[in-house]
Amino acid sequence: MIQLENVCKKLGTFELKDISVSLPAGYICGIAGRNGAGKTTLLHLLSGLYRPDSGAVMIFDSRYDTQEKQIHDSLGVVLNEDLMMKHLNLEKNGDYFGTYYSGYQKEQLLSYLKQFGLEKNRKFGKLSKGEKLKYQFAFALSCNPKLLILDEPTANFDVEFRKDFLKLLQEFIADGQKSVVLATHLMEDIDRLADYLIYLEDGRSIFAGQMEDFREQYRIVSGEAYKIKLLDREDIIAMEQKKYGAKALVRHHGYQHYDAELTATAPTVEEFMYFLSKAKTAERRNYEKVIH
Amino acid sequence: MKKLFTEYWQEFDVQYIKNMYGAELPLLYFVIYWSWSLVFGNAAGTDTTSVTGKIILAAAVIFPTVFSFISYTLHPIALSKQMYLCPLGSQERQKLVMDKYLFRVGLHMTVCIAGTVLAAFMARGALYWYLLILWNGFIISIFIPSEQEKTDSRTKELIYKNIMIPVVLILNAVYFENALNKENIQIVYVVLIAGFIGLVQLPLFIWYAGRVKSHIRSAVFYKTGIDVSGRAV
Repeated sequence: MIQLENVCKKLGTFELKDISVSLPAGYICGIAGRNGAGKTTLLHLLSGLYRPDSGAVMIFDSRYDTQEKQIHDSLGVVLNEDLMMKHLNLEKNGDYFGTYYSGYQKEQLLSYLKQFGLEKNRKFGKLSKGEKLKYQFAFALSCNPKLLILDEPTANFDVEFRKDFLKLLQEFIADGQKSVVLATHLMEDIDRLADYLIYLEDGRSIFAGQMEDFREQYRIVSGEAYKIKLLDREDIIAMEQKKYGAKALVRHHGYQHYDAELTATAPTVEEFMYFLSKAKTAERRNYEKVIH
Repeated sequence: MKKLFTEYWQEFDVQYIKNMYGAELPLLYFVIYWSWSLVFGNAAGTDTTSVTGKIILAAAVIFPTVFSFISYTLHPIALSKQMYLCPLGSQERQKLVMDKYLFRVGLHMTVCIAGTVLAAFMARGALYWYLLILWNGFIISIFIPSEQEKTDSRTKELIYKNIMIPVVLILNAVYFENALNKENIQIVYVVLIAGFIGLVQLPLFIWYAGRVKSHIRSAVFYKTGIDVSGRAV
């Protein structure tokens, strides 16, 4: 469904470089990374707002250069900014933009508005940040897209709606024909939902592939510091030493066995991000990859 | 037409004042100050004695320029971001950008024509003075906001606009005064005005119209700086 081949994009001093990933239909892809890593830039490339400087972005086996209209007709995009007309009410916003989409169904929009607790006669500009995102999500769903692209939608959702939102995403892909690309700071959502992961750091892809492979390639090893240091130095990405033990992010090889007194677990995305940022800090300061 | 008006109204947003970079913010101050002094001062004479008459006549000539300035400054040439996500081909989007732009120019000219007709009706005077006022109104009505990125072309556009707006205001005041005073045009005036229009205003107008065309082409795509043919702008 999505194919990125060595995609590069330069914006001012920031550069997204050599991003390659393939996402089939029926899956959720999480995009993670620190602030300024390039998540939004990547989503803009996927949604056709930006065109790559080099490489190819293929959505539904089509390129934006030649099939822009067809791709956008099957795309639902929710960005973390106000996209709708603020002086129009929610129903009229749907009427205004919905005319461009072949799959738009007004009844569906009204149904989602009811489900999300939004009044159709309220003006978009009068909604809170979270309500605006809910509305944009409702509009995207009512266009019956094949691909949903979401840029940090859950940041402003209340806890209760977040659960409903995650459930809706799972229902969305249930038929195996649709996909979701979700950029979020809430790593537990990616751990829970995502089948694919793109982890970005300073515009580079640190990891792009299936979550299973991600969990197979890395381990969080906990135990005595001296035992951790016995591991291959090249495999230790970063280590954190505490008063009563140490923890390290290491590259895992399928054949690898760890000392019986060490605990090795698959990392969460959050742990991965944490240790990666520590490794980067240590590298910048030219310290050893050990922090206290 | 309703959709165009809805979009025009939606985008008329004070938040775009923050986009008034470079000389355009002081220029706005100048326009407001100049307009205010003309409306309530004695710079433009009138053959009515009432204050209301002075205000109507001066505002009918000055207001269209002020309106056009505020309107073009507070409206971006580009479409809203959601429109770049809607299923539209580049040709369709170009039509939307063009329709939006032409609607805006039409609105500016409508205000300009209405003001000039009102002034002509109340003050009378020779028709050619009012036609010259309309020509000046047209020059301002095609203006668009300059791009944010500091480039040579942006600098030239800002210089052009910052010179042309005060020139237009001064010329309109002169034309209007001559219309009110019912003066027959002297041959020296004809030469000066024709020379100024033919040698200065018209060439610059044609140059700026080319810049507007370039901006419209690049507005077809979202901030990528390429036009409909795929060329970098």
